[in-house]
Amino acid sequence: MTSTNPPSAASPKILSEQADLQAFVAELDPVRQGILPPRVALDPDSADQGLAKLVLTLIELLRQLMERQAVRRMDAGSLTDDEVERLGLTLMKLEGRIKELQALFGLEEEELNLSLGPLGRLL
Amino acid sequence: MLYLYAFCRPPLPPDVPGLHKTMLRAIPVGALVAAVSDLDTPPSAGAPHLWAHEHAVETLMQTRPVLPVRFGTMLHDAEHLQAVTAPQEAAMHEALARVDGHVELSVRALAAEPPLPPAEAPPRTGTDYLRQRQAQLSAEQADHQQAQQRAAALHAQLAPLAADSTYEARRTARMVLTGAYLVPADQQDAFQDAVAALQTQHPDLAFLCTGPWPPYHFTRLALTTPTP
Repeated sequence: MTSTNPPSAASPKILSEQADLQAFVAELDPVRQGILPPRVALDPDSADQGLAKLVLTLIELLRQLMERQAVRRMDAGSLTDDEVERLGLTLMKLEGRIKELQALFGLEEEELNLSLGPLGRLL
Repeated sequence: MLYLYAFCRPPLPPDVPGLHKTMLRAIPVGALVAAVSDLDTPPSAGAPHLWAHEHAVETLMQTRPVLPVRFGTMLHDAEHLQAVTAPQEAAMHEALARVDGHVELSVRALAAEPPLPPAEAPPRTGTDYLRQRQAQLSAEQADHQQAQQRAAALHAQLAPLAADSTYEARRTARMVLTGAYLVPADQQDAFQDAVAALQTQHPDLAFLCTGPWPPYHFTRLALTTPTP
């Protein structure tokens, strides 16, 4: 029923005939990183970056929540054209500003995201 | 500290190797036993350690039904083990009866790389910006619904062949289906045939079927472990 595999050979566990394993392995990487999330580094040299990452992540989360709320209200028709324009402009500028700060601290887009374990990604 | 591998009915077979060259020993849990070995620190999550855990569980599984415990489960001592298992004993008996004679098979379906969305002109006004976001958000929502439906349809073709099953739609953007199936040990071939049939029906997806695994997804144990 079960076979004992040497630790290096996973192949006896593969039952599909024509699987391109590399594609699956590549796809599992983000999952594995989600299970073992990178930590906010606390050594003095990179503390600034770790903190900037955390703060920018939270600001980006709030910005996206406001954006969704704005879209919902626009859909519902409860905003005047003028209000839509002002809200859109504010959110657009905020997005630009966050991107600038992100570049300043050398953070990738994907880094402004936190793993919430079984709940998935924050953004 | 105790490192926990699995629960099963006594007696535990002799000389089953565990992690770090330890040997498994049995601690009675009501009418069942917990298969443990003594480790000082939690093992790091690398392939050799994961396989050592897997070998220990599979060795037990060769001769008896087991309730495997997920990799890395540590307990302070025998009292701690009793405390976390005592409320679950009835559930463990029920689960052992359910997984008896079954193995877990895993199925993943991977889609091709999605095409990049067409580049949109940068918005010039606030209204443009919000309209673009509105279109993106509703496209994302439609996409999400479609992914859920697709996973449910694939799963529906495999679930009838399993005594129990669980799945997740789109764990990552391309992973259409991640499913675990509790299959009678003598019907693994029929299950593999069904996966092969799905592959033929869906040439745009790549299917990966692995196993047989211990029934990790079907123990329904809720063990709380100490935080290090």
